[in-house]
Amino acid sequence: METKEPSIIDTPMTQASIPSDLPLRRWLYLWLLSPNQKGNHQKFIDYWISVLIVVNLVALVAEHIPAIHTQYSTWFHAFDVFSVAIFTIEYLLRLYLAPEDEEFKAAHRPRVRYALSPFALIDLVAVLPFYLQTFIPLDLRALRLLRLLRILKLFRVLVPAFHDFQKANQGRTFRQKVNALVFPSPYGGQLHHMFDNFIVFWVIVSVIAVIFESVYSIQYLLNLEFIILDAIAVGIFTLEYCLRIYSCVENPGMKHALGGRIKQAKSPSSIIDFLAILPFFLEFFLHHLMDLRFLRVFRLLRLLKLTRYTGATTTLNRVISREWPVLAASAFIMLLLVIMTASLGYLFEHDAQPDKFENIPQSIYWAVITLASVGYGDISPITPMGRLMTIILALLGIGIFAIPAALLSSAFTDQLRIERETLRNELYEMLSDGVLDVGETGKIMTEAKRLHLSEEEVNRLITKARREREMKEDVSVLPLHKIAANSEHTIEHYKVLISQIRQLGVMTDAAKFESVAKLKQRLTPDELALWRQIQGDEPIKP
Amino acid sequence: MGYTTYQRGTIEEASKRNGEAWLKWLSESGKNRHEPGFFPVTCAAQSPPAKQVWADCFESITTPEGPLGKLTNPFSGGRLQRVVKCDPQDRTLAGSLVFDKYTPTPPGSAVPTLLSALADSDNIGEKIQIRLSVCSKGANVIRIGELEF
Repeated sequence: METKEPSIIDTPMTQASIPSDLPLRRWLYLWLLSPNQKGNHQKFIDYWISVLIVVNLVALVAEHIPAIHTQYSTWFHAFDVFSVAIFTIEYLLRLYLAPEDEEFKAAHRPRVRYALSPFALIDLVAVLPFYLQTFIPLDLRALRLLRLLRILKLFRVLVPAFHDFQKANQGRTFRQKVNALVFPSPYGGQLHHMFDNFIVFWVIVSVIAVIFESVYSIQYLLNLEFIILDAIAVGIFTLEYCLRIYSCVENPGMKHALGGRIKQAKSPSSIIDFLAILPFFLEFFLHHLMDLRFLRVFRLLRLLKLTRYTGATTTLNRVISREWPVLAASAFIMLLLVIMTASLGYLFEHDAQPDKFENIPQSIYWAVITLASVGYGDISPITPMGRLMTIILALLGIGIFAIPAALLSSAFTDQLRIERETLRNELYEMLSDGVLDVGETGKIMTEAKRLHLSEEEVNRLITKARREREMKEDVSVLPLHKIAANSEHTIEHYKVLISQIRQLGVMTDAAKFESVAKLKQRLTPDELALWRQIQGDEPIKP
Repeated sequence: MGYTTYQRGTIEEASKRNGEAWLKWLSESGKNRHEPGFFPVTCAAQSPPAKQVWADCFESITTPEGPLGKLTNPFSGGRLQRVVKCDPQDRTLAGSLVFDKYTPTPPGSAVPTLLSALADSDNIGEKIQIRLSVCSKGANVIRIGELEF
């Protein structure tokens, strides 16, 4: 049977295959800068350069705050030198490798052409002021303003992503484009990932700001900066919320203009988005009516926005809903134990310590603290019966209170195993044609990312699925009734059997075989005749 | 809305700057108000300590001719006021100054000092430990600092 060799096309799991005997410049270009070479370091370099640009911006903002700048000016300078060094190396590298770039290699002078390209000019502007200040005394404010231009370097990543997005969304409506940008879809591409990263960045920044705002000395110094930061964050999150509500009708199951939007607004992720911006608006509109500073703490709910970008919470929800009956039973036993313990504690200790075991509700606090093995010690039994009961209940508590934790932990592991098994089955199905195409690879990679599988693990799964697929195609290992169900398999199996009988005939002693078969009558004359025919000793009778 | 919030923030910052200006002036004056010719006279320390009250000193500092007379309450635009304490229930107190004094307790007490509002009638003829605060836009306390006056 002819089998197609399984292959993986255009997958990020593949290793770069760059011949080492190439000229150095070509080799370097393919390894470091070529956007078309799979498995090279281009994406890695772009990612870290982008991170460095963002950190540069943060540093620039921080430098404007005298309280921070005066204290850490040496560190700021060191970071600036480091950044300029990296950006300079990047610029020189791109300049050196320009003759290998598809865009410039056809030009008369590729390096000059590159140096005059918009991206190269931006790269130059990002580092030039640093070197210029050595020769020309530049105003510090002007220098900082020029450093701000480093943000333009992000265009090197943004522009291609935007072009890809435009290409993928050609002929689609504005709302569909917005949907592709904010919701995961096959049309989103890299720009959608950037949008997600941008939101994640602002969630982290705003949560850090809320945490530091609670430190009085920091809040006193940076009050205005925190206000600006919060206003920007709320602006971004409000825009994101509006875009999601506006474009959700493009999602399956939300087609109705009003009903779909209400459905989206009622979804847990939208409620979280809404709660993330609500404190700001409440404080803005109602500040003159009441003291709403307590609402600021709820800005930490923005952290929940990150649940959209991780599959771990989905897995946890599945685990809880799957194990809910057992968890409920365990909670019931815990509740029973707490009530019993509290009642007995009240019974034995109330007379001895009326102030501490004043009533059963107060005893419940002691019971929970004892059963959960926390043991603050602010309330403790002093009567012999009370102490005896505490010993028994504390020992019981260790077991009973540990049940939910153990349940959740084992169920979580189990759920992960199930999900990985599902991924393996999907891979198995995808490999039915022997090929993993681009769409299938993308799907697998997304799922693998959700399950936090490393590249190595995904490759192992692919190999395993491929082997299983090959095993399935090996007819001989299938049970007889499955072979019989398929005529092609039956014929194939029949041929294999005949060939095996022929092999037997070649390998065995023919004379001995004949004598045993005849003398001991182990074979009927027909069976013996068939044997001879298969061996070719006798002509096949029609 | 973001810009309005920012503007509100700048007003609060202005009230903090007022507090800092007061802290600076009182701290510097605390060092030389024992010297003859100190202005304003109502804030000068006497030797031996004479009966001089905080209300008179505050008034003389905040008069238009006084050393901090140019400072205004950024929330109301009017003259700077001092209050006993900030009260979130009363938003008209926003931008006001709050002066507390530390009073040493007798030897052997659990706490070395007691904190109480610097009353109008309090004697400032001798050195006094002061804690200065301002009221925020929500009439909550913003601590500015402590000084010896």
